[in-house]
Amino acid sequence: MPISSAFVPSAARAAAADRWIHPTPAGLFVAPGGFFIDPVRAVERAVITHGHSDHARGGHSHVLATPATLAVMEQRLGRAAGAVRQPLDYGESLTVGDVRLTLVPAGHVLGSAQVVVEHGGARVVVSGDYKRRPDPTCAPFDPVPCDVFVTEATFALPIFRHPPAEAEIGRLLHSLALFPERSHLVSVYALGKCQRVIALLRAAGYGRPIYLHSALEPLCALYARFGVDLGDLRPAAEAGAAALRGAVVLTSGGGGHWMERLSDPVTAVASGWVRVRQWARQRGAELPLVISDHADWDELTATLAELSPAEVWITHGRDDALSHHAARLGIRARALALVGRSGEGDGEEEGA
Amino acid sequence: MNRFARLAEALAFMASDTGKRRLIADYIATTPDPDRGWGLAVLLGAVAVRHARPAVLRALAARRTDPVLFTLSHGFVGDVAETVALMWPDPPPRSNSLPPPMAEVAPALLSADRAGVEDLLEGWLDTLDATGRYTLLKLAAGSLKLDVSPRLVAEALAEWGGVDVHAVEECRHGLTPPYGPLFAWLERRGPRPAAGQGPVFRPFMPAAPFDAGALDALDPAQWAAEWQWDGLRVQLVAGSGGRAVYGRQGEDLTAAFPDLAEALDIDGAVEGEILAAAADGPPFAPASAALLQPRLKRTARGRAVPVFVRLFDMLADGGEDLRPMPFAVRRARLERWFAGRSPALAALSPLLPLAEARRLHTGIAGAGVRGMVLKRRDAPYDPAGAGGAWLAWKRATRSVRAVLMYAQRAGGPGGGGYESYTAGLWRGGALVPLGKATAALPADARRELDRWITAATTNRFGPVREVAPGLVVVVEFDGVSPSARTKCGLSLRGPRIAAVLWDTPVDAAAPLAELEALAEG
Repeated sequence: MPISSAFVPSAARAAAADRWIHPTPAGLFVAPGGFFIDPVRAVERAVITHGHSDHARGGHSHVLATPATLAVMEQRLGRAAGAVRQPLDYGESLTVGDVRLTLVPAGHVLGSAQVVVEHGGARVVVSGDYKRRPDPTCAPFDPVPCDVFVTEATFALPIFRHPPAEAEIGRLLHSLALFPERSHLVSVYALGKCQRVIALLRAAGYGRPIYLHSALEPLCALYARFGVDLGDLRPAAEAGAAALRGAVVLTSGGGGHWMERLSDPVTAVASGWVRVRQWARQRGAELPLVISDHADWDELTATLAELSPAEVWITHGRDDALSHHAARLGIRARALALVGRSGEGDGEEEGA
Repeated sequence: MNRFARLAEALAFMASDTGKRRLIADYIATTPDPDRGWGLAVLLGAVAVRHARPAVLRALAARRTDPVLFTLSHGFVGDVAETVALMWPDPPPRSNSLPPPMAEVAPALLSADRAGVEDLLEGWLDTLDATGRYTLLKLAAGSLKLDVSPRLVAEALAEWGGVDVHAVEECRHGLTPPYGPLFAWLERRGPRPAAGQGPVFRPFMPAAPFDAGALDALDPAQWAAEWQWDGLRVQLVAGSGGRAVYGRQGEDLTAAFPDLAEALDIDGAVEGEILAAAADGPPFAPASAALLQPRLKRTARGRAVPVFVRLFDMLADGGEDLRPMPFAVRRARLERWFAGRSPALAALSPLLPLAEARRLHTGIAGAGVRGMVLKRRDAPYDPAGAGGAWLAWKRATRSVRAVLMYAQRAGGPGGGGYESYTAGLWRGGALVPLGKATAALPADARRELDRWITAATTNRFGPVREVAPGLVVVVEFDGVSPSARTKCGLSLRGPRIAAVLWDTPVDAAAPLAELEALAEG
């Protein structure tokens, strides 16, 4: 039974929501269902929004997630992926204790979901990480009206407005044309960014083999099993120097002896952070590509305006700027400041 | 403008010179006249304006951004111009106002006055993308860092046009933006432009590194020696087309040294080294080279620094090119010209007997001397430096054992290593910092050092980490002189961490007095 979109947010229900869903040191806890969402410690019952390591930790007794997210967790965590693993497809609802739970697409990476929890007539949507741009490698974000919208704020500063990803891929292709003898070594996150960059290259008509650091191969194979066609991918470690000349080589930061066979590599970094020059410099980017799997400022603010929840709760990122903006929209904002999410200053969260 | 901005951004990030040259050639090949000419003018530093002062940038920000969000964003980005550029609204899709071409932007900036510049910038910002906005604001502020020398630009043009780089160097100084005749020549559509209109830059002759062991193999009759001055090597050019002071890469330094351009009444080109003059010394006594920095930055304090020039070569006399002549002949012409004119603010660089070179070299102590240059008397002035006709014999590097005190993180938020390190020497029972040094270490040793710093951090001041005194490093430097502006009262030239002495106890580091004894007056 699908979620009804005819839903009118209520300030009273939102104000009462923290009696049954609230942050704890282990993560966001849904009391009437007895489960946590993306907990940072091992718990009895966990609902996982997506497979990035700062959301999907190992060691839980029961894990519920989309089939693709479960597959990612099994691949990354092996036996620690959860003693009992329960798949739930997008749009399917399940009653857990006194809570109706539904997963809907978040548009972040393959399998990423928003968790819709309904209890006593109130509805809270926990977005996890999300984006609103089209992405050929995952299902698009599905806006669900709610009393409380629990959002991320990774790029919640108005300096972050991601340009069209196609244009950034165009810059990579232009560089390949300008430096046809140089390998182009692109740093990507292993889950999501890697496959999206490949899919974008393919969509732009790039048909040549793309070479992968060995750490990226399993997830690309997993995407293929879930029906995402990424074309001709080859292990970089087995490629000769001639093959790597002028080739696109993807790495998630790892290296190996094969890197010595790269010809005068152009180092590209695909991340939303590199819009700020200092970040691009620190990452050693010669070719910063502003491609992100997170919502930028415009997407975050447009999503708030579109959903018009009575309250917005901000899990991690720049809650100060987004709270300020929400106040101007007349939406009550709360910073949850969940522990265990990478924020500014201690590295980046995965998949930015 | 958006197209030039993409070039500017690509240049700023591209590490290799080969890559930069190719980017420039690509821009020249794919940009129409006269836009590419104005883009070239920016690359050559010919569009030097300082309109977008911080107050102007903040006023612009106030026109389009929420003050709270601006403050938060600026805190994250750390640069006002970049924050304005990133926060400024994008033009609506299918906007009917096109971004301005470079041929509009550059001349308008050159002729703008302070009153109108804000409206001018606002109008342009509304049509540009983020990269275009950033480049525009940095250009208008006079702080666009492209990291290309005029020399590299000339090389790119020469490669693209299939001509000799010196031919480009010599004619470009006589041309003005948008350089129509230059492109016509490079595209085989017109004749080679004449060199002679403006003050022409002639590419410098390099000196190959010299190893003292080879000294006895040199024939004293064939070689002359000179001091290698520790200042700024320049070419002073004057003639009917104007006067100019050019740096090593052809950069135009006339605005930083108007007094020298004024004083040198020449018709031709001479070469020499600009030195800061010691305030209380005899005439033409050099002071620390560090004093030239505020001069180059054209600060008020810099303008007050007295300078002079030590002349050592003459490249042109009237219309005559002296470069094909032997060094001995050029030197004689220089001396004759100098005796006839006695120009103010100039002295000749003395020739030294080669027989004395070894003794003189070991005795180098004064400020203003970096080493020696040995020159073959019969060699022409050759920018290609073929055959090692000039040899640079650097004075011995000095070093001191010091205790690591601070390290500064590379700017901006998040990770990255350290960009500078501060070590100190003992005075009494306390350490006195020597100022920032770079790291001249192999990558793995540097990573190890950075890891140690992170683990030993006891305090943070913004990007600066203070570490517990527990590590001795070798600080190498090229020179040391007294300074009123530093805690230790000394200023090091080219300080770098050359080695980490993991097992040396900190009390084995040097006392400050040891460095003071080395300092030159």
